[in-house]
Amino acid sequence: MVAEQNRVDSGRGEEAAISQQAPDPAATGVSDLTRSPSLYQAVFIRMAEGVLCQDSKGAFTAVNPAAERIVGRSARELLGMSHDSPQWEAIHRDGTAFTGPEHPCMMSLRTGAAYSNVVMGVAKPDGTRIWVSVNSQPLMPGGSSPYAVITTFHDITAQIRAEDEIRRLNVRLEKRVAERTQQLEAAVKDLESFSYSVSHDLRAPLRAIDNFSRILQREYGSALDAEGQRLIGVVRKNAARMGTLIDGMLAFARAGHRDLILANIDLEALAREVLDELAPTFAGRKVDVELISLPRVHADTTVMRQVFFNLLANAIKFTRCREAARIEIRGQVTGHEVICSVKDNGAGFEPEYGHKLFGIFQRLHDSDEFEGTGIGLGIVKRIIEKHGGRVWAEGEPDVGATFHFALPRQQSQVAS
Amino acid sequence: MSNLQGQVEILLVEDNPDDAELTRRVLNEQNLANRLVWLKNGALALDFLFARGTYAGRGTGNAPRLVLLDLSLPKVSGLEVLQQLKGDPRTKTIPVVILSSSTQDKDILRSYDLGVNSYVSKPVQFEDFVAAVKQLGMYWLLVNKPPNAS
Repeated sequence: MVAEQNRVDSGRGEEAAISQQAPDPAATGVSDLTRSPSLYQAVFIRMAEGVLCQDSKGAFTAVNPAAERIVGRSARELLGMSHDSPQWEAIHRDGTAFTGPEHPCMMSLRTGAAYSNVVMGVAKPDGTRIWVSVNSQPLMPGGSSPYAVITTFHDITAQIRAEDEIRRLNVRLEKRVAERTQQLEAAVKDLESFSYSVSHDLRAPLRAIDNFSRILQREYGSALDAEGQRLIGVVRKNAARMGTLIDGMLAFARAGHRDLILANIDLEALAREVLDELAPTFAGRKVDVELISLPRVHADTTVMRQVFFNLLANAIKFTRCREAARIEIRGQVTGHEVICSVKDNGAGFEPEYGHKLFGIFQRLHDSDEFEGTGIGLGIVKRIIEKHGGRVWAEGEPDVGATFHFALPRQQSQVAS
Repeated sequence: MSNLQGQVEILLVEDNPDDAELTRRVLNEQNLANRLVWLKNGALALDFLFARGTYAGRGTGNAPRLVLLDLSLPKVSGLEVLQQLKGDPRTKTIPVVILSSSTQDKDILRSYDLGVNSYVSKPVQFEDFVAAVKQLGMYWLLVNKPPNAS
C-alpha cells in the first residue's frame, strides 16, 4: 500500500488531487497529508469512493476497502483481475459492452488525459448489476507516457434505477397521452360531425314550419281573426330565431372542422377589408375606427377574417348607444406572442361575467337590447385556440369592452 | 306528376315532400311548374334521365330543360346522380342546379368538380326560399340559352 502511495506522489497527472507540485500546499490542505503517511493510509482506507490502482496493462495493483465493498469482491480477488476481466461484464448505459480500450483507465493510459463521470455497469459475483461513476487519472513522471492509472468510482445504482424508472414511466405516460389524445380527437370529431348533421337535419323541418305557416297566412289569412294572425306571427318569429341559432351552430361547427391553411397575412389589410364589409351596418352613425400597428401574422386568412368580422361587428353593435363610437384595433408584439386588441366605448359588461362571454350561446345582454345568438365570440375563441393562441376580454358596464387575442409567435411571426 | 309525353321542363329530385311541395308552389306561381316531374330518389332520377327501368319507353331525346337536385337522397345520392349525368355525353349539357340544405364546403366543391351549373343552399325562411327558387327557375328556363335548343 505504501509503495502505491509513493507512486501516487510522483504522479504528474494534470488533475491529480495529490501532487507534490501543488503550488500552495497550505491552500490545498495537502501539506498535512504529505507529512503523515499514516494519514494518507487512513484516507485511502476510510474514504467512501472506491479506488483502484492499475498498471500500464490495466491490472489492479492496489484497491481500497470501499472498492471491495462497492463491487462485492475481496482485495485478494480483485488483485488478480484487470479492467477487462470477463467477470465484470462491463456495459455502457445503453447496454452495449465496454470494449477493452474504451475503459476510462485505458483511455487515460493511452492519451494521458483524465476522464471523469464515466457511467459503467458491472456485475457483482452474485450476478446483480451495479452502476458506477468512474474517474481515471493517469500517472506520468516528467511528461513521459503514463505508466499507471488511478481509477476511482462510486455507486450510482440507485440513481440509475431511478432514471430508468422515470424513463419507463415517461414512455408509459407518453403512450397514455397519445392514446387519450387520439380518443379525444375522435370524440371531438364525432361531436363536430354530429352537431353538423343535426344542424342540417333541423333546417328541413324548420323550413317547413316557417314556409307553411307563411302560406297559411297568405292563403287563409282572411279566415283568421287578429289573434289568429298574431299567433302565426309568433310561430314564424320563433322559426326565424331557431334558424339563426342553427346557422350559428353550423358556423361554430365549421370553425372547428376546417383544417387551417397558414399563410403570412397582413392583419391591418384584413381589418380594413372587414370594416369595408361592415360599413353598411353603421352607415349614418359616427364611428371612429383607429388601426394601430397591426402586424403581419402567420395564420389562416379565411378564419382570421371571421375573427375580425365577429369582433368588429360586436364593437359596432355594442356602441350603438353612443353618439360618437370609438373603436381601436391595436397590435402588439411581445416576446412569444402577437397580441391584437379590439377596444370599444360601448355598453361594456360586468367583469365578473367576462369568462362567460366566449362560451357558446352565452349572452350578457338582453336580446331586446342587443340582438344576437351568443355564438360569435365562441367562434373567435375556437379559431384562435386552433391556431394555438388564447383569447380574453376586459370590460366595464357603460364604459366599453376590450377583446384580445394572442397568437403564438413562432407560428405568427413573419416567415421571411 | 305532370305528363311524361311532352317536353319535361323541370325534373325535381327531392326526397322531402314538404320541400318538394314548397318548390313546386313557388314555380307554380311563376307559371314554371306546368311540366314538372318530381322524383323522390336518385335511382329513379337516373332511370328517368337515361330512359331505362321504370322509364324505359321515354326516350333520351326528351331531356328536361333543368334538373333541380337535392344532395341527400335515398339509394343514389345527389352527387352520384350529378356525376353520372355530367359524365355522359347524352345528358351532360342538361343544366343541373343543386338545391340542398348543405352549406358544407366539401359538398359545394365536389358539386362544382363534377360540373354542376349552380349550387343553391335552401334558405329556411319563406321569403328567402321563394326568392331563391323563383330566381333560379326564371334564370334557367327563361334567361339561360342552352346549346342546340330546339
